[in-house]
Amino acid sequence: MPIIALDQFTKRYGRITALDSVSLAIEPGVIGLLGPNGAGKSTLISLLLGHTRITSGSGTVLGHDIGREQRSIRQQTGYVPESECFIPGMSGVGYVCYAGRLAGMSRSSAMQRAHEMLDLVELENERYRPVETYSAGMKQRVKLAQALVHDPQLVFLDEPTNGMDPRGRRLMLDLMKGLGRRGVSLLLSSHLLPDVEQVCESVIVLGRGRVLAEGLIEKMRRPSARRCSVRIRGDAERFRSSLSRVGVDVCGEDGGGLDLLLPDDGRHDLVVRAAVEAGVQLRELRPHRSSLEQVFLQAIESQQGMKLGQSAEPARTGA
Amino acid sequence: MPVRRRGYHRWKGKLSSARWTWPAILSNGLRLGMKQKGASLLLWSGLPIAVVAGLLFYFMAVLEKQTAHPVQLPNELRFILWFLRMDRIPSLDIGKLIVPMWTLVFARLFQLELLLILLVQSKFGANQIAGDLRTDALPIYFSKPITVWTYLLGKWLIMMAFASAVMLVPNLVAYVAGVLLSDTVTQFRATAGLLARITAHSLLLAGLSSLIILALSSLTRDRRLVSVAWFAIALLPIAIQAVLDDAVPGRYATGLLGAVSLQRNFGRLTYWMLDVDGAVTSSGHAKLFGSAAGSGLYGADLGYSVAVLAAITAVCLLICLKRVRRFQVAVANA
Amino acid sequence: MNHVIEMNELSKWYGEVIGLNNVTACIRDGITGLLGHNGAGKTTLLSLATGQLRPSRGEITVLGERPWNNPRLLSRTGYCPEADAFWRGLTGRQFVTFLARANGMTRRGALRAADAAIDLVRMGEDQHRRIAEYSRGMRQRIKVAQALARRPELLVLDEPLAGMDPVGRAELIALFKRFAESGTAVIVSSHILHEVEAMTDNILLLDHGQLVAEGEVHEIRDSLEEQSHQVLLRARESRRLATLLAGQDYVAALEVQDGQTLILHTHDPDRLYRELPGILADNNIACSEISSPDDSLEAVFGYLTGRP
Repeated sequence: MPIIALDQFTKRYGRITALDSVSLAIEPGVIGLLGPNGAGKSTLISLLLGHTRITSGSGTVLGHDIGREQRSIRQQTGYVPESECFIPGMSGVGYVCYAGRLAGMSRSSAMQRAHEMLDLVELENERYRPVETYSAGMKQRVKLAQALVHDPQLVFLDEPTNGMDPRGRRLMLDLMKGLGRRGVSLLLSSHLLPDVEQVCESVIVLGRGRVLAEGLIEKMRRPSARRCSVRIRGDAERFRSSLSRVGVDVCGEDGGGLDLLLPDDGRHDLVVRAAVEAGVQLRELRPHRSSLEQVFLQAIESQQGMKLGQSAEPARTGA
Repeated sequence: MPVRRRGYHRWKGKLSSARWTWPAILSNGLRLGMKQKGASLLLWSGLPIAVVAGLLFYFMAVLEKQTAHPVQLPNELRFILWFLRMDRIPSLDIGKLIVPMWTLVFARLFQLELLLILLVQSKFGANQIAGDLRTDALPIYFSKPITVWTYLLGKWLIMMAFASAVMLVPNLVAYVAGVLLSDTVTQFRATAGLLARITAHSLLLAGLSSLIILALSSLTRDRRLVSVAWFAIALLPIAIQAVLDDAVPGRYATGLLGAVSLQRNFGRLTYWMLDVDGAVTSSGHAKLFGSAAGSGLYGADLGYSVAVLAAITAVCLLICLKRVRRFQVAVANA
Repeated sequence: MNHVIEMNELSKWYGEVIGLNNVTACIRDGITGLLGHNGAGKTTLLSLATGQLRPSRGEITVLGERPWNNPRLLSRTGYCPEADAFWRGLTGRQFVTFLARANGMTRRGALRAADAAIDLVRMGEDQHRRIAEYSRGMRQRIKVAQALARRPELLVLDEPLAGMDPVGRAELIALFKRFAESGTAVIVSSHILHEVEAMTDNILLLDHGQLVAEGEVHEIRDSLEEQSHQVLLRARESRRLATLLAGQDYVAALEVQDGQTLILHTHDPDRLYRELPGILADNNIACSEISSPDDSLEAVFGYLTGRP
């Protein structure tokens, strides 16, 4: 059953159409929500959380109608907002416990669960200090804890790694992956595409209030069975001639590596053989996959009908 | 023994299906308020007033006994007359005058307690919504299953609690002390009506002032501005009026300021709620109370005050609603 | 020349708190990434380089001069700070023009420079709106524009891409690269490692106020000898391949992940890469991927700043 189902979902502010007849059915899992500024990502989340009213259309979240059953929706969802939101005057524990009570938990359940969530986000003794004294990374983590305290089915995250240093970001991403594995669905709105690639299984790309692309990341990246990129160390000329001898074409150079076209699907062994023959080190061999950034930029470009500046290399992806 | 896995665990509890979670907001707000410096001191400051009132009731009880055998009034007891603005000691059975005298005592108590309310609302109330606006807590609040009404109700009840501590509680203490120090049963029967009125009026004043401070608190993120605005609204009309009284003779200016001044409107309301006029008249000795009686003191009639206060209530409520809902309007190009 | 910034035993402390501790390094032309955890000293370094702070010990020279109390040097440097401090009442254009003039340009020169800079960051459409109405990404662009307006020789950028969407990010990265190619030295301080990776290979890594690494990412990685290199192999007959490789002395450890994936740990990557094709070809094993998961900035960062 889809966790979010939208039908002709539209939101207008005066003359500005923030969302234009969006129809979607999102299955449970970890989903990325991408789009340039102004595409409607924040508006969409606002509407799903019931902060604003829909202009027209309908939708359900976790089976509950958005217009009429807001209470039920909020009992089963959590929200990690982008800005530094916290409730003044409270310690980390107090804050998370209060959030649980606002969701309807009893005081003792909320307190016990608050400590559990703070363990999860690795806030140790800091939890007893006022949230005002926390660093940016700690504030993000405590926000995640308060979103999870009532065990929601679906969590909305808006730029959750904002302002965090690499270690904090790593922790946040691992937490999100862990949540996905335990069956909690996440809708992650972020501009940091490599983060989305690491954590999400599928994405939705919005542009100017419309859905430009959606689906599993793996499929959208179109792994190729015939094209691959290779990096070697050694005699490049010999390698090139060996390649042509086994029937592999060099399509282009790509920042220190070569872009190759195999004569047939999956014939990477030909490249290996060429390397042996030329006596070079084969330092990298990858099937060609567009990066999420390329998928994203292409979707935007086709909507806007113009060429956008691209970074010179496709972004590296972690294994 | 099974081992507990690291990582996220689901929760098997149930969420309360109650529509309102204001108790959580209330208890949280009370706890945070009490943590402030000087909180206890301020809240306990209502009690000395109750003690003074209790003493007055005691002295009245003494008087009552003494009028059977008139004796020269000790100087200390002249204080009561001054306090009640009575012209002279009646040479009759004080018993009949207990109700109006108590009523007047409470009327004066309310005036004193209004000053305390001024301080209490500023200290505990200025930051209620302003703080949430400053730390951007509203998205967190409204991602939970609560409505704007729950939020405002909870905040309002927090302020009601604090305001009641310096208004309702001292009044009740004074009343109970008075009843105990006199002839309990008859005293109670005579003044039970008064008890109902002072309770209702305490709650009314606490409620109104709480609503006003909440509205002010929702207008800005800076708690200091809220305090300044609050003091200005409460004190400026009186100050200006005092100045004008000297400078401009005649009742125009004072009449106008009297219309908007919170103190005046609350005062009129007090006199009406406590039915001071009724008490004085039914005692049969209205002349004794002379200037203490109500209507002369506050100018125009009650209806006016009720209208003004009702308007203030409506406006404050609207302000709160509008300001709290405001954050929900998404920025179009976010 | 090409030493844009030189630091010699540079230290800075605030009362008892250490900001930078005995840093000796130099930053050259091109783009250099300045990395480190929160509190590692990045902001301190940038403040020292832009003349906002004075060294407690040691010295720093920027473009050949000392930055402290040196307005002439400052006019050769463009600084895009992290903070979001603005005069919100101004329009974007007014903001950039004002700062250009404050830097010593004539009115006409400032207007022209502002126009050019605003064009470069693609804020032409919104330059006449007030900054208070800008989204986060737009504010970032305007900040970059004011840094570019004076055509500086050195561009110092503190978290320049924070809050920008991927489109804007790609545009600005391309812009910085163009600037670097045309001779401006660029220093970018950022927490977002893959952004830095997309811009440059040259980094300066700080931790606890000390310089931990300096130079190209791959060289730094190679010099971390005690950290074995990870090599990922994908093959259908992964187990057979594993058996073959386990027998090789340059393979320190072997991990079989799901079905087709093998992770090797080696202290001699050169030898591995040289011998691997032979092993694959001789044993007829079809391998579809060879890559090095930890030859990335993120991995290097993690190894050097040590905390798990």
